Amino acid sequence: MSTRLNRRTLSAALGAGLLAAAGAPRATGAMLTAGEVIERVKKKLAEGGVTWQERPARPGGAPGPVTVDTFKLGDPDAPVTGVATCWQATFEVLRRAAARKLNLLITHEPTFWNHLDDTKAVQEDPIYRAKREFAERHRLVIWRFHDHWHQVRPDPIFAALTRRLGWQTSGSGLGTVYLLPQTTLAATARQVQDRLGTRTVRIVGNPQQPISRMAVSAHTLSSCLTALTNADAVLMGEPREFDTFEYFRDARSLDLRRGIIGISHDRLEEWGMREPCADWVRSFVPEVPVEPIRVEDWFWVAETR
Amino acid sequence: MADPEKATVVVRRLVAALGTTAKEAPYEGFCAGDPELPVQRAACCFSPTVEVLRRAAAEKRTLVIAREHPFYTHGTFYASGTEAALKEDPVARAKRELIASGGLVVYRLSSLWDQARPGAQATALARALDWRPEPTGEARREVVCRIPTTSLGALAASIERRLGAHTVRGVGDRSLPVSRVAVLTGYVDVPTCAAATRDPRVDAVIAGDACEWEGAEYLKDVVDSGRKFGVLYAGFVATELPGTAVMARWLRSSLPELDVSLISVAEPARLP
Repeated sequence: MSTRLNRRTLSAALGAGLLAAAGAPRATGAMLTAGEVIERVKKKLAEGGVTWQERPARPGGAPGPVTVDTFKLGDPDAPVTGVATCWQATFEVLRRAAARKLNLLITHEPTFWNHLDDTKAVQEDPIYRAKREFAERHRLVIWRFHDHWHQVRPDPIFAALTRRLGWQTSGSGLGTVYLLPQTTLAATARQVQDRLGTRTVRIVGNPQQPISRMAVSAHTLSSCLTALTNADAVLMGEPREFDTFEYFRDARSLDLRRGIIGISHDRLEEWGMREPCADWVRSFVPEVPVEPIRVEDWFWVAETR
Repeated sequence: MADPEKATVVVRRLVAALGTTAKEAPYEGFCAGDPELPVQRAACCFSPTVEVLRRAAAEKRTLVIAREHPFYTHGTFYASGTEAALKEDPVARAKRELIASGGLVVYRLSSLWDQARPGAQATALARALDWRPEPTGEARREVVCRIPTTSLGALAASIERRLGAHTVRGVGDRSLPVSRVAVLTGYVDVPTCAAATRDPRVDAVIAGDACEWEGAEYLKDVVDSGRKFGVLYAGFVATELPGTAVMARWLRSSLPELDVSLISVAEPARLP
């Protein structure tokens, strides 16, 4: 174990030295490993003020759970032929990465269907086995990049989303409130459809509700309520129907002017894992190709209208 | 005429009639209002929305028996933080006042029903779609139905029309031929999705909603695995309503002295 660590540390130092000296690709024959790439990720984060934490702090400052930013599959000592950044390492993304010989996947979301990528319960599952065998056959290494990427300021995931939407922040310290020319909930939802290229945009609330201040929120009702404090409506990625949609249904019945625009998780978060993440990694990994892999919009809507 | 029974007594009889020894999950059982209230009339509903509570109060249906929780705490994971966030919230406050002023008590009947009647919700949904579930030898949450061959896209449209839903979403090739469907309702987790897709002859799954880094990612990987397979998410509410109607009928037959009416709710979401 210590031999491996020493070798990795030595290689990382060598890699960093080469980079610092010339910013040029490595000498032929020296093999960059997945572990070395991730060491560079950590170093680059630290340079930007994000120190690596095994237990990243919660928004209030209290220590959170153990980070999910770890290797999920494959050998960290494996040589890297290319790096793929993606929102989620779905089976299709693994195929595309393998076809492009990008064997290190940096993924924002889990690979094996739970936040911790705990695979104990799925060892005999045929889809787990197929996905794992495919990854092993193509010598893929999967590393998750969630907690620490969200800690970069401004958060690259939400910055890329709102850039895509063309929404401006108020700049008045209201955090995640975006000022829009006076419009309605339905018109805002249609704008989201067009700019994010997806049909699966759902609204709960009065479609004619006036909107000039939008909030953006992740996936829980509590985070959505916090985001709504200073906004007319919230754009939410993957709202749960059993709590969030029900809450906004009730808000409408009570004539409270609160609306929600729900989009899928990937439409919310994929933008920040594509070019912004790939460009960032490429800036300190010049030896191999670094490319974003799109997840695509998973969902389509029934054609009844 | 005898004095009306208290809500606690009615619920005790209801649970006895269900014949289950299972325990309620967190956020189930009595959720709001006074369980000692005398009950002459009851309402059965899927989600105890503001509209449902208003109607129950207007009709003096003191006991509201719901599949869901009035304060949006569906289960432990997602409830974390919700209770604190709702403490001063105007929607929760108005709902609490509505329950108090309407003289209502809300009882959530969810996992007890599911454990006493495995597959009841899915069977009800299949029947609402005019499908006949294949007999199964074991207690399972999903039912499997053979249907006249159609495409996944056409099936999505037909389900949307039949259920009066508005936001049916599909994953997979719209032109995929489908003739054997596993039917699930509500929110589905990974073990549920894995069980429903275990039979390789199943070429589509219908569910309500799923987490996109859990069950929905699993089903996407089934689609991506190369198997001819598709998924339709017909909505949490739309898939659970047929089973709620069955639950209301069962309540009427099991508690014949109680006036129980079903108060239906519409799917809350729309496409813009």
